[in-house]
Amino acid sequence: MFNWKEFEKSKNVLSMVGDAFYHEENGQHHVHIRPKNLINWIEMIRDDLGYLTLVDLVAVDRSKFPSKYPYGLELVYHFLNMGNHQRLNIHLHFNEDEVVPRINSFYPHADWMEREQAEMLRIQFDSPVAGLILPQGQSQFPLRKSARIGNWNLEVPPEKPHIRINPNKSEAPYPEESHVWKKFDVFSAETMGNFDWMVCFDPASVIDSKVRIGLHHQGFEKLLESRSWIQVLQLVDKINLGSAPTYATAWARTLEDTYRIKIPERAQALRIVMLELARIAEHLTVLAEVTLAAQKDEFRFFIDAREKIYELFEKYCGHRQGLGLISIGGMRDDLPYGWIIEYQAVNEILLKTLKTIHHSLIGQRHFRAHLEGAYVDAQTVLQWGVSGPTMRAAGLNFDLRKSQPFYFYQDIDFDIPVGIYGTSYDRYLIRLEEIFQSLRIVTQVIDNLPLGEVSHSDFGQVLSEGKVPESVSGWHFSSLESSNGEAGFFHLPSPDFSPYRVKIKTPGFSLAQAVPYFMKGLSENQLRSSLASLGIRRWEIDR
Amino acid sequence: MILNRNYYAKFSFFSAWWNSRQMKKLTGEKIFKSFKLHKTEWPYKLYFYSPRLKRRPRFVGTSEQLSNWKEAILCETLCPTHAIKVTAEAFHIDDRGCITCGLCVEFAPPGLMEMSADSSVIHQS
Repeated sequence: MFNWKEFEKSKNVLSMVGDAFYHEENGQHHVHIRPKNLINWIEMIRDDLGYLTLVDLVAVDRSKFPSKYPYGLELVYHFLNMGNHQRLNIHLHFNEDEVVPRINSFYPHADWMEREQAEMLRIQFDSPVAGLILPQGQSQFPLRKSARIGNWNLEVPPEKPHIRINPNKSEAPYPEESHVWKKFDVFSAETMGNFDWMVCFDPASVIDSKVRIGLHHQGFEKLLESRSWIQVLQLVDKINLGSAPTYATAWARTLEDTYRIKIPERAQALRIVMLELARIAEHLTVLAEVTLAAQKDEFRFFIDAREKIYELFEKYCGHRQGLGLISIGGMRDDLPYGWIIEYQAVNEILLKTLKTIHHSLIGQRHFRAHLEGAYVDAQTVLQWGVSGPTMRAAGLNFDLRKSQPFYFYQDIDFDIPVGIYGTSYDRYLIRLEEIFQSLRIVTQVIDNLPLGEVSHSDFGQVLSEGKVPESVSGWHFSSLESSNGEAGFFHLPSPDFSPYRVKIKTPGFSLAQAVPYFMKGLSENQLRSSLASLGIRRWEIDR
Repeated sequence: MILNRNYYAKFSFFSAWWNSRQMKKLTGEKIFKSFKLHKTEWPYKLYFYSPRLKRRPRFVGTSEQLSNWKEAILCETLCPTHAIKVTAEAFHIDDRGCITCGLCVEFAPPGLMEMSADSSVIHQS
C-alpha cells in the first residue's frame, strides 16, 4: 500500500539530483528536465530506483499561451514503481527545433507511445519514427493547436505488386517456403474486429505476427478539447461500452482529485457498487467470447447472465450499459426503491449458476485444448507494460484496488486471484474468480450502505467562487483498476472549464502492442480463443 | 489468493458426465428468463425506475420561452454532440445525434424540456 514515509524518502532522493526542478503534487513526484538529461534520468530511475513500468506518455502543444510558457512543446513520461507504489512524472521541455532521444531501448513498450505522439504532434526523435495510427501520406498534425479538422490532401504512395505466397518477403525474417503468412483483417472472426493481423505459420504453429491498428481512429482526444468537463463526462462512456461506468468514474475522479473535492459517503459506496457491476459485465462478455471461440454452446448462458447486470443498470439510470450514471461530485440519482432486493435476486442466481456452467465447461476436453496455449511469462508482461488479469495470470500479485485503495476499498474483504502457468486457461479462471470476488464486494457494500446525500451540491460554487487551490498548476494523472487493466486519464486543465489536453490511458493499447509476443506456438484454431482471453476492445486501441 | 488446483487436474469420466447432467437440469429450469420486467409491463410502471428509461428529450415549452433566446440557447450549448439547434421559430432535436444523456433536461429552466416516451417523432420543431 501507498506509504507517506516512503514517499518522503524518495522525495529526498529525487530533489537532490542536479539539472532538474522538483515538486510534488497529489502524492506524485514531478520532475522537470531538458532533453540532454533525459537518458541519464531514465537509466537512474530504472536501474537504481526501481520504476519498472512506463504507464503512459503524453505530449502537448503549449503554444496557445506563449507568454506563460517559454518552450513550445512538452512531453510527460509517467512511471510506476510496483515495489513501493509510487508514481513519477518526468516533464521534458523543448522547442520545435530540438531533437528528443528515444527511450525505446530501455522500455520496449514505449515504442508505440512515442510513434503515436510523434505523428500527432510532429516531434523530432533521434531515430526515424514510422507512423502508427493516421493514414499514410497525410501532412497534418491533428493534436497541434493550430490544426483544423477538415479536408486533408492525402498523397498516397503507389501500392506494391501483390505477391501471393509471401507478401512481406523483403521485410520478413522467414524466407523458407514452408513458412506461410496469412492475413486476418478487421472483418475476420479471429481478430474480433480490432485490427489487421498478419500471422506467420510454420505450417502447424504460429512463429510471428504483425499488428496494424488505426482502423477505428476518430480523433476522440481532439474532440474532447472542444468540450466542457460535464460534456466530456457523457462522451467518455463510449470508450468501452461493455463497462461504461469505469471511464466515467475515472474522469470524475481526476477532476475531484485536482480540485480537492470530497464526495459524500453514499456516493462513494454507490460508485464502488457500479464499478464492480461493470467489472462483472465485462468479464462475462470476455468469458462468452472465449467459449464462443472454443465452439461451445455455453456462451449464451454467460450472455444471459450479463443481461441480468444490464437490467440492473437500466433500472438505475435508464441505459442498459450504465451510461450517464455519474456526475462530478457524486452520483446523478439515488437508488430506486426495490433495487437492492433485485440485486440480491441477481446475486443468488449468479452464484448458483455460474459454477455449474464452469464445471461443465472444464470437464470438456476440447475446451481445454483451445485454451492451453498462449503462455505468457511474468518478465514478458513487465516488459510490455501490460496490467490487469493478464498480468495476474502470469503470477504477479498487483491490483490497484489493493495497492492504491480509494473510497472504501481498504475496509472491504476481498481477494486477488493469481494464476500459476500464465496460459489463456489461467486468464479464463481469473476472470471467473474475479466475478465472485466482485459479488462479494457488492454485497458487503450494500449491507453497510451509508445514508445521506448522493451528490455534492457545492461543486458549481467551488469552481465559480474561486475556491480552487492555488497549488493546482497543471498535470494530474489518476487511474483505477478496470476489468482489463489500468485505465485512467492524463488531464491538463484550461481556464475555460474544458481540458487543454486529455490523454486516455487504456489497457487495450499495450495489450495490442504485446500481441505478437504473447501469441506464439499456437495452432490456427486456438488463435481466436486466446486473443479473446486478453480482452482487447477496439475503441480502447484507437481512441 | 492462488486459484484452486483442482481446476488444473484432469476430470474423470464420471465427474464430466455428472457435470453435464447438472448443466441439463439448469437449462430445463430456464432460470435466466424469469426476470424480464419492462418487456411485459412497459410503459405502465416506468415511473418506478429512472426518469431516463426508454425516453428521449422533447421541447415542451411555449413560443414565448423559445423567443427568449437566453433560456433556449442553454440547451444548445450544453449538448455534447451538438444535436440541438435553436432558432427564433423552431427547436430542432436530431435524434440520430442524441445520446439521451439528459443534460438539457437537467440544466434547462423548468417547463422547457421533458423526457418523453414518445419515440415516433424523429425531428421535432
